[in-house]
Amino acid sequence: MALIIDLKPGEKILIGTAVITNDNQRTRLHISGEAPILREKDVMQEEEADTPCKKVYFLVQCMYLARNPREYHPKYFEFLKAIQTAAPSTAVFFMRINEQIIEGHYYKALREAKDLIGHEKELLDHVQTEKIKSTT
Amino acid sequence: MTAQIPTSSTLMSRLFGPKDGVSGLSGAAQTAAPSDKTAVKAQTATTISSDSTVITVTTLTQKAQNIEKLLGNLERNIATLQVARDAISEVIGNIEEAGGLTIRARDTLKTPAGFEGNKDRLAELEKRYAAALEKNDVLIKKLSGTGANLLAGDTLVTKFDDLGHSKLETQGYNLTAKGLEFRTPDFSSLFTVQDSRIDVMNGIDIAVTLRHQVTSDMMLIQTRQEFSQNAMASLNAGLDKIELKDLGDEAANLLALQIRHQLSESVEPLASEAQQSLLKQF
Repeated sequence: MALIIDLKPGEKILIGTAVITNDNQRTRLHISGEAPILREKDVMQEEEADTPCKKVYFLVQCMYLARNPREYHPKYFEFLKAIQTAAPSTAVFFMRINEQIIEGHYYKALREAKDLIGHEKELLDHVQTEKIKSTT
Repeated sequence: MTAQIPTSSTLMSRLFGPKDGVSGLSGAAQTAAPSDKTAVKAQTATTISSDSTVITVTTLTQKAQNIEKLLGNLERNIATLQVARDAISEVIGNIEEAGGLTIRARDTLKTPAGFEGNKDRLAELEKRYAAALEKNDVLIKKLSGTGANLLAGDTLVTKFDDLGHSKLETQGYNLTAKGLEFRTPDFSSLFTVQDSRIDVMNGIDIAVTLRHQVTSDMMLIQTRQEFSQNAMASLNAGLDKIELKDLGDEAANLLALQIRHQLSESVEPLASEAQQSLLKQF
């Protein structure tokens, strides 16, 4: 069954190793096959990966797009270990990300990684809140 | 065995939320799941360890065990694919040997003595051609009985989860002389020698394609195997450290980690050059 994607005017989408830019009208794409597909809103640039968990998202994205995802495993697990040691509660998120990667569902793994970023944000926000509390 | 870990609304929704929850949670944890996001937020701000944040370590242990089981299957299938790949190479070698004999038969037929003057030699070449193909049949027969025999046309199924929702099917091909539809050798004329030559070329094409498929699938499984091994190790490591209960501790640790990474930002980029240029197009 083909995947159906609606593109807004000017929206970009990555399919395989090509980036497709929609013209100035809405378009519906029917995509069949196994190529990696990433919408513009899901793409993270390396410079945007400015926290440990965002780097994890970025690495999963790299695995998804890579011909040989293996080259990213060492870096990914290096971050995983560091983050999990710092914040053991992330183990649950990593468990789910890993499950999806093992099953070859990188897009779903990215969604799980987004949740990890959410968890990280809440933790870091907590530090800020505590800091403000202590200064007032 | 249970341990408490800090919570966040994201974590709570991951554990109890609308997406499929982590299986194996204790009944107490499930019944204590907050009913709305506001409640979770309030809890996040104040509560570090309560009944609702109890996660059974059993869940993670179970996942590690599942991966271990999966690894066993992956290892077996990689071994099957390795055997198949080596055997296909041997099959190709034998077909090439048969191909060499067709060239010799053709050259012999082209001599002034032709067929009539070389009957015995051509009969001998026919015999050797058939023997080369027979070696393949014996080799393929020998592989049967050790699981999926890809060279006999079997399919090898590699499952990446318990239920087999995610799986890879490696479709074999019957590489016996009969399976490849080799004709009985007849080296009495250039025309019939050419028939055998065509059979050889087709056979090699099919075998090379199969070897390519087997190698490619094997690499994919090896990649998942390596990832699974690391994932299992990290799950076990996660289990060892899950006692930390303070949300503030975790947050501070994460912040420290972030600062450490920012300070060592001079390190090489994470993405390969090819991916960097692809992403720059956005």
